[in-house]
Amino acid sequence: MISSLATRLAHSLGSLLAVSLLCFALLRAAPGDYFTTLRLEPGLSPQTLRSIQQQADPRSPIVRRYALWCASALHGDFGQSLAYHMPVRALLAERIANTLLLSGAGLCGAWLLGLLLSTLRGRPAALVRLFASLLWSIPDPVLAFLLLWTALRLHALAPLPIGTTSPTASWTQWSNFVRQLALPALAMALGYLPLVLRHLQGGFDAAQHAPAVEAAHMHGLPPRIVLFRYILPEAANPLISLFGLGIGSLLSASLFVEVLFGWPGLGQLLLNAILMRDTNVVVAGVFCSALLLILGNLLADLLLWLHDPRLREAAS
Amino acid sequence: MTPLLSVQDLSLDYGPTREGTVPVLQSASLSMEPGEIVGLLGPSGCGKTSLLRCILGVPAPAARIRCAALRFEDRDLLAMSMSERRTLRFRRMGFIFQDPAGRLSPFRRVRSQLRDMLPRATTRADLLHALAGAGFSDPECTAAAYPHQLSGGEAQRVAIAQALAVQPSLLLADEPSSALDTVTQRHILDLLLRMRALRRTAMLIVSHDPALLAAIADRILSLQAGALADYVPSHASRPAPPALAGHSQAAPLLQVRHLRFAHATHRLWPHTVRTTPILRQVSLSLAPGESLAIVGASGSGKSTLARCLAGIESRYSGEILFAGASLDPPRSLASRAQIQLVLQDTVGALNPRLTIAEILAEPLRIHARNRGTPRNVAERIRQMFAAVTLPATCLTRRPPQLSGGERQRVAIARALMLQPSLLLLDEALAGLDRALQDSILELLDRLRAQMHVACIHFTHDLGRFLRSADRIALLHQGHIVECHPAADFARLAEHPAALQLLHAILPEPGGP
Repeated sequence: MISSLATRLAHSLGSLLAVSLLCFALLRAAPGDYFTTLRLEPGLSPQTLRSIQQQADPRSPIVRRYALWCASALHGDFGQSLAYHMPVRALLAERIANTLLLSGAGLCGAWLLGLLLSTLRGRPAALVRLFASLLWSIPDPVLAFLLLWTALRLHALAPLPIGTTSPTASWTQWSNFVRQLALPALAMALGYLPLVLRHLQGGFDAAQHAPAVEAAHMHGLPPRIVLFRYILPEAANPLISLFGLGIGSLLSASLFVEVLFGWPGLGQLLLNAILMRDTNVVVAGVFCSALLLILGNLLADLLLWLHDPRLREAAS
Repeated sequence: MTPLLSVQDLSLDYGPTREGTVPVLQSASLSMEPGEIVGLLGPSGCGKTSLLRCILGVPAPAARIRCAALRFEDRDLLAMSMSERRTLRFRRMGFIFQDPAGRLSPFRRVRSQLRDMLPRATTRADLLHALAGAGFSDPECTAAAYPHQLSGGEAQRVAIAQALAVQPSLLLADEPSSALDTVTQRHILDLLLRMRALRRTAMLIVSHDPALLAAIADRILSLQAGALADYVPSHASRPAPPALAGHSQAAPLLQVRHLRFAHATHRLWPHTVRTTPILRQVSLSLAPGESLAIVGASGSGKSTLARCLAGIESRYSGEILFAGASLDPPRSLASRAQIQLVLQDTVGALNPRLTIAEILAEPLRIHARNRGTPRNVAERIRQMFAAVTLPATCLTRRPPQLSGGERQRVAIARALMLQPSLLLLDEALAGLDRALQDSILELLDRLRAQMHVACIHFTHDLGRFLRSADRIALLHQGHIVECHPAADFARLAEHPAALQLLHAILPEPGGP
């Protein structure tokens, strides 16, 4: 196990290096840079422009720049943002916290709702299935628009200023913050729900007919015990993998929702940074997404390993 | 005295299927006194398991039941709600399954699954006591094990411990000892008899083995054409196996040298690796067309040896030579076609989504590139089906619609489809009744004579193979401790384990 864990970690490090290098190279390969648009600014004198340019030093060879970036990234320093004039790390920390809050709430909501709905049997279950297919067929941005439109019609948004957030200590501000979070989080949850629901329903249905579950039923064990000690473990393996994927996509899944609801998260920042060619921000943002994806998969593997004793033996 | 259980005029059929309604039981009636042991005998697929499920209150979903009266402990079961029946079977009835290994949840330790059955106040000592009562010499170790670490026989003993743990007044057992070696079988029978003496537990035991039922039951009923009748032992003698001469001088088909295998269990923190040796040093050789029975108690490493020979398990050390060539992993497709394995657990071995015809055609399809697809696949399937004496109507069904014995015959037919030169049968006859075992063994004898197919039977049933195998090898704790011609085994064997096995052979009912 230790050696396979070490191999996994080595692979992960390799992937991270590859992701950052690819990101660097792609940004470099695309025409233009941050200063292309600045040059068109009539109010900016060529001297000023040159001094900014010298500070940023974008013309040194890419290998050298990448090596420097790696060295500072190892110390947790991702450089300066050209557009925001502040350290990328501080900038990202705030935005990542916002995004994690939004998509974390969405993910939890989807799983809770999915678990509740998947306990239904018979006709309600068929209705839920139909609802899930409908939801699955609506593109995420359209879904978010529909939600926004409905909320406006119902005046649920009326007292709330859209698009500002600062979680500070006061109670009213907190409750305001939660109310602001509710709608985008609901949009996230509804987008993710069909996937979770289909896996949960399928998993539980298959587990009902597993020999061990039938045996427990024939022994006459109480339904609660059969559900929690026999059906749930039987259905858990694919769900754990799905959960790991969900964790991995926490930073990247919420782009549409962030843009539509004006949520100041990583997605919006990254989109703007790409449009403005704010290289350091883009690379650091992509790097963080990749890191989370890898961590999510590692977490899923660890959970599977803990859950299924047969995997523990196969790992040797 | 009122009977403990009375069943009157129970009829059961499997509702509209593609072949119309399938009647299973017709006016079956049964009455049992407290503490009585009743044996239930019948060919495979006759509805023995369906009867047990009706009594428990969990019939198969497609079953349609008509019953005049069904009473247990002076209560009317037909008038009870589903949840009342559940509580009743939880507290008052015990059930033992035919295929024990798959019936334990793979995710939880034996002790937690056993604890589910027991009252909440049960102590750890009680739990270990229940396991020791089922014949485990090291209950501590078994309690901590996961089901996949147990052998088939050990899993069955856990299942028996589970069923007896609730101290039921009625125990229903579906082939309780078909997966056990003869020594453990004796032990379990003694255990069941002791339970009866202590607690007056009544038992309804389903088996295909008249010898076993004669040894334990007060009376034996036979289920035929859907109705129950008293069993009358027949005195028909078994045909002697055909003499196979002239193959022992040939170059060996299979040679195994110094085969070793060990399981490794890992713990995350603190990190420890515990290795459990399963095969310590196994060497044997087999001539073409020979029939060898490898006999051993449960947990002696029979299944592991079969898996190593079949190439499923590749983490062994040592050497396996097949027709003079080494079989180092990974194996070639051609060599895999030559060695075919039949498993004990037919539920797991057959894909439930395919029809029987598709299952039988599959090996031909997989090996089509090497050997060319025979033009008459359907003809081959039909021939093989007739050889294992299955009706052609089964071809369009799927494995869950067949009985255990029928599935086992399908599995054997599938293994023979490729005309292998070595057949490994891991307790493959254990779930079949005597008559079927005879007919399958005859079929194998015929194939051995015609095509020189060699067979290795991995079995616990020494008595059976003393009469039908050429040679017997005894596997004990990962070593081959005895290997003699079958005719002389009883005379030559001197290892204590061999003597114990020989001693435990049950006499044939109605025999000399």
